[in-house]
Amino acid sequence: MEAGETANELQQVLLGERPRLVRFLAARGAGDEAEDLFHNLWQKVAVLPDRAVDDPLSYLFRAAENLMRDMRRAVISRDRRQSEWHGLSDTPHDRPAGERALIAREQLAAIEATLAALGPRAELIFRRYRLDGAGQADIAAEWGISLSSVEKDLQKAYRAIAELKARFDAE
Amino acid sequence: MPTHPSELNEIARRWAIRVGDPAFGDWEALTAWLEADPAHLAAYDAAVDGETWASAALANKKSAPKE
Repeated sequence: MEAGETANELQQVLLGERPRLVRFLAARGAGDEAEDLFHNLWQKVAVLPDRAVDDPLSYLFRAAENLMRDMRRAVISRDRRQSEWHGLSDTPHDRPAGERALIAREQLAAIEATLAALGPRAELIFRRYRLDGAGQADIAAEWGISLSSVEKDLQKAYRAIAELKARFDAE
Repeated sequence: MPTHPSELNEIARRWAIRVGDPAFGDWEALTAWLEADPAHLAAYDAAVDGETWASAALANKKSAPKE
């Protein structure tokens, strides 16, 4: 058999698990477009090199989650462009580049200060989790602490970031 | 019984944290939670937005050399 003529392993799993993945896509915000997005996923999987994946189903759910995150980013930037076009918005993106850079620096400084205020462990754990992509179990092992301590530190960090973002969004 | 908004946001952030783990595999429980109430998706999106906002800012600084 030649490459491209048969479904690869991930595509076979994708087809077999279609109901579960479509249901996830619908619940994750795709609504009536879940079938279209499933097709989108199929095309993405089709061009992947045929290599073994540890847990194909989890891999596909992750791909579906990432697809929905990409869609949301696209919608948000489209809405922003439209409101700029109509001169309706006063978001930082309407402002000149120099001012935008200033706001970005201000936000970064505030994020760093917010994380620092949580104490060094929560800050380092957040960075390790979000920036290095380390798993919670690995982080727990590195610090010699329980999984629930890692979770609590992450919850503290996420809560503080959400409060900070709400303040910036309200400005 | 409706969940108080702050409690809902807390639960949504817990989901965003769990999904952020490379080992996360509880996708069907996430599906069921999202299906349970339309407010869940909005809260989850907001939790992911916050996480993405902070991570992107920190990652940008990490990769960009000082001016």
